[in-house]
Amino acid sequence: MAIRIELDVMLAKRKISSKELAEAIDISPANLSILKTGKARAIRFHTLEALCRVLDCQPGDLLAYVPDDESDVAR
Amino acid sequence: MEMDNSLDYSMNQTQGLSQFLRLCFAACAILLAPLRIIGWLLYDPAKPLDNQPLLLGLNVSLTAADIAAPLDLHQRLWAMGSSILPTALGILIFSLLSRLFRLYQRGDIFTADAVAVIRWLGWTIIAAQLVDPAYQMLNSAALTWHNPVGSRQLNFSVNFTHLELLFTGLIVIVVSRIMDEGRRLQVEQDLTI
Repeated sequence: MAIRIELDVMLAKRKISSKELAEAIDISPANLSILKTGKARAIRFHTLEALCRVLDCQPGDLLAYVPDDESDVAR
Repeated sequence: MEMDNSLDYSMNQTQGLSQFLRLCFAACAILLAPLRIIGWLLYDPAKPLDNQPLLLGLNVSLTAADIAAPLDLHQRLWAMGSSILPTALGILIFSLLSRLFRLYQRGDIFTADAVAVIRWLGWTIIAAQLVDPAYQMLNSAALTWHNPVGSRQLNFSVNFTHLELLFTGLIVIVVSRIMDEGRRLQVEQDLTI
């Protein structure tokens, strides 16, 4: 998937654990893990809104576009 | 919160009903063969088929007037043998229904397994209608075997019930395709956070 969700960086900046973030935005830790590991196919706007609110950031801080051939090289 | 509670309640009801139906269909699958065997051993051509519940679901196109001599054990066993295939298909249908409701009880509604079971159900219903004329011919031959020469029969009938059930089987197959679409949407939904 060319769109990456860079949660780890924001979690480290804000010093919040994954568990705390999951509770704060009212999703299960399993679903948060799906987001973090890039397995999600889509993200709802209200989830994105909740992430931005809790992490005090913009959507652009969380989402990055990495074209598929570059992401293969990065791996 | 209220919506979650009402969804839970609805799911519990569905699971309860699914469990009940699963057990009913499993019992039917197990009991069908022994009941048919007993039905043929006790079959009385003088009584209408509706009054012989152990043979319900089977077509017997003959009347008491068609069967000249009292039935002996061999004829009853041949009649039983002729109904093996329709009975097997009946057992398969009940088994598939039991399996389908077991999946629903587990909450597996839009899954590949559930779709496959519904599809098999449709094809089995169709197969049962296609097999029925052959069963009727064998059955009529068995029941009239001891009739005087020239009065033995080999008959079958295709009536509106067959067409209805053929159509029902087709509808069930179409429903399986719709459920498959639902499965694809569910897979997408599962990975939407």
